This record gives sequence, structure tokens and C-alpha cells, in this order.
Amino acid sequence: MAGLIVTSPVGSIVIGVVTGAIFILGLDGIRAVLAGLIVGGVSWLAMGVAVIAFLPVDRANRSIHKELMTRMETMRADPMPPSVETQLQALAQELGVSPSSTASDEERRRLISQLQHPE
Amino acid sequence: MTTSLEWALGYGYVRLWERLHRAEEEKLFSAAYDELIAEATRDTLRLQGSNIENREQLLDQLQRATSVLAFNAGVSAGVVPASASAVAGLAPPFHPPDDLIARRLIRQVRRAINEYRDDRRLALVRARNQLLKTIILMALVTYQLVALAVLSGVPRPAFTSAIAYFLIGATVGLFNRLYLDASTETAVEDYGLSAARLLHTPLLCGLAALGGALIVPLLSAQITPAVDTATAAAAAPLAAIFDITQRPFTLVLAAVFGLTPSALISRLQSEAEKYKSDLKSSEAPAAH
Repeated sequence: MAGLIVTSPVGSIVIGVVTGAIFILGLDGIRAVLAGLIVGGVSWLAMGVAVIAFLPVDRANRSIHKELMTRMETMRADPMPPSVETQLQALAQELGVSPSSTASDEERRRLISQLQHPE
Repeated sequence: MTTSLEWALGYGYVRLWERLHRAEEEKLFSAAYDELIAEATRDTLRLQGSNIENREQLLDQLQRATSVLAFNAGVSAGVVPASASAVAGLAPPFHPPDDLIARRLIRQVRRAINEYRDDRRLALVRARNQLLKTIILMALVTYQLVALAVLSGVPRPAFTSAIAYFLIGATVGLFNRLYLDASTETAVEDYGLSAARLLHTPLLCGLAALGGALIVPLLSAQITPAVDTATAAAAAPLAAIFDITQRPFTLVLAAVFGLTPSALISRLQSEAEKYKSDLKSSEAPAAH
């Protein structure tokens, strides 16, 4: 359903184009309209199914997702109050970062110490 | 992985920006002196170049807060230079409550900047989704025109001519769009607004071309003084108007009318450019 909604601007154009093309190719009247609706509708459905792969948060808009991830990771590198940490964890989950891929507390402390005392 | 319509529509990303900003403001409030002063200085630079309406008040607020923090931290960086007139709230020594107020002020200023930017992002997303709705409605109306022509059994050459007028208008509109795009800001993310405009242009310009190709011959036949109404109606039957071989000049008319929606398109574009310019002007001066 989400795929159909996302592709509806193109899908509605496709139905009109297909109906016109079928009429020019030889079908007349109601048969051309019905054939246009069926062929155009199937094309729209195919587009809707194909676009589902591009609906997750990291694919719908890659550049914004990347920008958000960079900002979040920069913030997480510094020490922060527990309330902020909880907020960022929730945000990371929404951004599609699995908990296993986040740095452990020990590793984060090591990174913070490295940043605070560079060699 | 969350699969949802809100990512495709763009609202989800604006919501995530808002959440990230609230966390950032919370973190800023409890930051160390050096970080807080550096962030306040960065916000000063962002405000100075921005289009935020009350930026003077925000700058003043930020300078006072930074001075308090700089004094308490025992550093001179970030202290507002002494002015001839005494500024209220800038008289050391400062006390712990002053420190807390300064932190709150810095957080408030950051929140004002963040909210300003989030509002612009939301405006871009709304404009894009509104345009997509317009495209759907226009495409449905165009489909109804096609279906009506097909059901009423118009001659195929007339139908092909109508498509030719539509396509000429769409092509001219896209060329014009190319010209308009030369002046657009591409460094700022527009949440798919330019892509929606690209889809909107051929549809709108094609319909305008079709309308122009139909209306001008009909009107010219009506206003010609030498002929009566019956002759005028006979002079421009629909079948003759939609026949390129009889009236090749109609192609030129279609091209001219294909340019008519450019005023509307450029107005939509300038609106979006304003939001993008607001975002650009309040951007951080350096990566962080």
C-alpha cells in the first residue's frame, strides 16, 4: 500500500499515457479505456512493489540519513548525561542502527579518553 | 529496519531532526565551560549570517551568557568587549545562579536556531507533498480528458495531433525549467521538492499548450469581424484545429503556451529557494 501511495504521481500519469497509446494502436472506445486501466494499473502496481525496497529510513533519502547518522555519532563520542544517552539510543534505533553495532561502554570510555588525552 | 511511509514523505526525517536537536540542547546545558563557550561562539557566527527575525536579541542574550561563563571559567575568550554604556547583567563577580542562568540562555538560543531550521525543513517537506498531490490530481484530470476523447471516438489523427501539442508544450516547459534551474541552490537538501517540480513541469506545460492550441483558433474565429457567428464556428471546427497538416502554425502556438506556466513554476521555485536560503544562512560555519 505504501508503495502504491509513493508511486501514485507517476502511476496516475502512466495510466493516461497507456490509455492514449492503446487507442492510437487500434483499440476503440470502452475497450481502450479498460485496457488502459488494466495495463496502466498493473504497471503502477509493479512500480509500487519495486519501490518498497526504497522505503526504509536508510534508503528513502540517503543523504539526510547519512547527515543524521554523522551528527548522532559525533554527539555520542563525547561524555553526556544519562538522559541524553537514552534519547540518542532511541534515535539510533529509529535510524536503523542495531544495538550490537553501537560501541560498548568500555570502548566508548577508551575513545573518550583517547580524544581527551591525544598522544 | 523501520519501513514506513513517513520516510518516503519526508516527515519522519524532520521528526528525527527535532529529536536530535532536543538531545543536543540537553547535552549543551550540561557541557563543560570550554565546550559551552565554543558552542556559544559558533552560534554567534550562525546568527550573524542568518535571516532569523529576532537575531539581534538572541545575539545579545548569547553575548551576555558567554561573558558570564567566560568569567567564571577564568578565561578571556568569549568575553564581550567593554562598551561605553554599561550593560545590565554584565557586572562581575558572578555567582553560581548566574552560571545556571547563562547555561539556560545558551540552550534557549540554540533551541531558537534549531526550531527555525526545523520549521524550514518542514516547510520544504510540506511544499513537496502538496506539489505531489497537485500532480496526482492533474494527472487524473488529464486521464479523464484522454478517456473522454477515446470514448467519444475522436478521429485518430486529431488525437495524435493533440498529443503532439501536449508533448511540444511539455518539451518547451522542460527547457524553460533547465534555464530556471541554473539559478537554484543545490548545496542544501530540499527533501525531493526539485524532483516533484520536475514531474509537475511537463504535465502543467503540456496541458497549457493543449489549452492554448484549442482556445486561440476558436477565439480568433469568433472575433474576426468579417464573418458571422455561423461562419466563424464553421471556420474552426475541432477536427481542423487538431490537424497538424491543416494548421501547422498551431505547433508554434502550443510552444508559446507551453511557456505560460513558467510564472507559476518560478514562483513555486522562489518560495522553495527562500526556505533553502534560510537553512543555508543559519548553517554552522564549520563541520562539527
